Amino acid sequence: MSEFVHLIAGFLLADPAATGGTWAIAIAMAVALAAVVYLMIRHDRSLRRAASREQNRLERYNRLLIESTGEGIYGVDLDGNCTFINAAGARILGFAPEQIIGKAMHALVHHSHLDGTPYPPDQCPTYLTCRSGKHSRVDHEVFWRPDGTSFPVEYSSYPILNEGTVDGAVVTFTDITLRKRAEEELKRMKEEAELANLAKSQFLANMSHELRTPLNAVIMYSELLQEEAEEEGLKRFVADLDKIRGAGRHLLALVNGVLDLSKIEAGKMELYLETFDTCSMAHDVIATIQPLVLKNSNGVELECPADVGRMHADLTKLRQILFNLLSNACKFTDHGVVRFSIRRLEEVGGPQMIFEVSDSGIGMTGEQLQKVFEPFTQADASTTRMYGGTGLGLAISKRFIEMMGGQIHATSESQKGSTFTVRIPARVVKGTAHEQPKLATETIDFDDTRPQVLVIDDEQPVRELMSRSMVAQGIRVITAADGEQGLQLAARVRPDLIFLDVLMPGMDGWAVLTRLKADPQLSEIPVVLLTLTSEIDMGYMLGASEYLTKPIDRQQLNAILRKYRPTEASHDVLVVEDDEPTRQVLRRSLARQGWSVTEAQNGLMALDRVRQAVPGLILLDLMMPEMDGFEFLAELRQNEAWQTVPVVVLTSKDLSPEERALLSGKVERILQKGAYSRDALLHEVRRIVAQCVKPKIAENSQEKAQNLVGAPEAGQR
Amino acid sequence: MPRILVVEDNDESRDALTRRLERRGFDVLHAADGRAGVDLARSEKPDLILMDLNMPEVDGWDATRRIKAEPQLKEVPVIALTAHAMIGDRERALEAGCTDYHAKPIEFPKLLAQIESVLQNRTSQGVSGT
Repeated sequence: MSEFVHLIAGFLLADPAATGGTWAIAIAMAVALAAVVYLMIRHDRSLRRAASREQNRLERYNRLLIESTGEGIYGVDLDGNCTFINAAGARILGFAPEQIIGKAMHALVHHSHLDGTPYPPDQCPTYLTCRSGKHSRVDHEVFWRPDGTSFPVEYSSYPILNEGTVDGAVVTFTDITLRKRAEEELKRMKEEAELANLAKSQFLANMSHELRTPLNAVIMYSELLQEEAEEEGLKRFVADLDKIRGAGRHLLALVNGVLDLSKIEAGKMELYLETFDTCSMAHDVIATIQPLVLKNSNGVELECPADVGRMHADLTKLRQILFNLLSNACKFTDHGVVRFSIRRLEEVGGPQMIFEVSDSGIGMTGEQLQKVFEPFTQADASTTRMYGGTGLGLAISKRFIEMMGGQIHATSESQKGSTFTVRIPARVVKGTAHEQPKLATETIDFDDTRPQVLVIDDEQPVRELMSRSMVAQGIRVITAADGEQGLQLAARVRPDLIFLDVLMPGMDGWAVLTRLKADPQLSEIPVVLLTLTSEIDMGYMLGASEYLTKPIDRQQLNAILRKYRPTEASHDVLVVEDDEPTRQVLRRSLARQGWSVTEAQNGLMALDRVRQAVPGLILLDLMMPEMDGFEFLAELRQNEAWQTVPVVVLTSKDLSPEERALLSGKVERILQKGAYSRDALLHEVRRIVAQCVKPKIAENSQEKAQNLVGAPEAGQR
Repeated sequence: MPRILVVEDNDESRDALTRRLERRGFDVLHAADGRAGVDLARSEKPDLILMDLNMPEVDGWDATRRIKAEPQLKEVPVIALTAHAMIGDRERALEAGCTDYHAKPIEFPKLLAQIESVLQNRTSQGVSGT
């Protein structure tokens, strides 16, 4: 600016005669300069005004925010003196804002704990926030009002930071009286519920004593009188006294059953675990059941191989379960055979004991079978009259078995007999028994490429058992509880394999099998029948591929899965790729999906790998040192045994028409790396691998031919 | 004949059990609570005691412990009678010094067999001779 002044002064002081023209120029320049200066000043003012308007607006906005919230908000400086407080805060604390501003907040509202003991300021979280610059939150303290009352408060202290140093703190707080009250209420209710539960179990314990005592007397006296009547030759009385005794025993069994059930429902039934020899336990039970066996002139066969060994479970409950099953078998069989066998099954989750009781008695219809484990539902009302029993035995047994982490299921054929199968872990663990086993979900994920199996069986335990063992092997399992649902699912997901129960209510397995085989879309899917051995021929006639007898033996199941699953060899994917990172990504991505992956860095090494084990699929890069993809492919296809191994080319090379022609007919697909995002490429690879490595049963040659086209449209450049 | 002391608070149970045992020729004493049971055991020195465990005031556990604490009585076998068919009970009974255990409802033939076996053991060990 001073240069301008000099310049202008220079003009003004110059000789007027010599500078006649310059004057005019100087004046004009001065005017222009003045105008510029004026405009600059004006612009600056308007800028300032705008900034101050913006500041006002922000201030109003902030004020509105602070004032409209229901939370109390105040600020303190480093001395703990209040710098501001919002209306809600003042109201909650019971002050007028002007009574607070400038005052030491801790001394005003936070001076004591709830019990009245002083609260030293240097322990106050807000003070500590000011010191440390760290945020703090508290919800177990109180704030005090001027009238001497306090309220439970939740508050947070945030440091006010100014270029790295703490200027003070902002405290937001809420009165949490209502919340605390609700918490108290909840706690009280929980305690009451616990008391009520205790009272309930006390009641049950008392009831069991109170009900059993008089019943004992009835039974004892009727037995006593019966003995005396027999001795004194009062034959007339004997039969009637026997009825009283029988009714008394029945009532006692009922009372015991109902009490057991209520105890289980109330969660009061406990497990007493001990280790015992399984076979000696079985012999004991057989000895106890002997009178019942003889009653209907039955024979009993026990099969307990020595290698069954010991188990750790609730002995009393297990005996009760087996006694119940055996006495049912004896009761419903006349001049027949009752078989009791015990096996030990090695499972992923630990060894399992399988107890099987089968008879050649009257059996059950499908309808009766469905309800057999429900309390008070013996097959029908007349059964009770004819065969006695409480109708609670199986319901209690089922619950006992579940408590021990096991399962029970039944198969039966009317007039032919019934089989009850109990599975209990060889080593029962307390507490885990009630956890539901993890089940395969029924959601269908088409992107998932793992093998998929459909289980159609009306018995939940069978579905569960099969699901669990297959899911553990990386197989996706979907289940259907009846034939209709099974057919729908089969049509929707086209599983790789179907397990089909023959004996189902409604549409039975035969009908389902016939419909599956009649549907051209589904007829190629192998079906494994879950059946009794006597029905195998019928199954093969209708198109079943295999059968599995119930109860499902895990090893047999695995053998079938191996057979219908891609073989071990075809499960391998050989990745031929010279770039280490790419190879790793492919390997990881495929391994996650359950394929085993071998690697080779060039064509030569790849040939070595193929010689060692023929893979199910080869992922082939083209540009590699030593032996490139083209050469490798030529070598591979020359060997008779290797001609069917599918090859997918993964390349970043722009292929010439000649190169395409060279590959055509020799590879399944050509994927161009650049045409896909990494994830999309991996997804595509997984999809193709899944397609190729599947068993070829459902795949026809036309589809295969279609897969021989080159890179997808997006891949063309 | 051997003398059996029945300690049972329920009148009917006690009466029926007593009569059935008497029919088998046993000499039966009975008491309606634990305290009376201990007193009677002390004065009469039975060959065997059938002890109900669930009784008011001095219960069967307590009475058994008291009996086992007395030098002249500690060899007298006690068979516990209980309405609880639970393993914990059996263990507790044996722990309290009971020789054997019978879960109610009483199955008389089984109880008789237990009584006979306990008495048999005792005679063969030559502990006492009534």
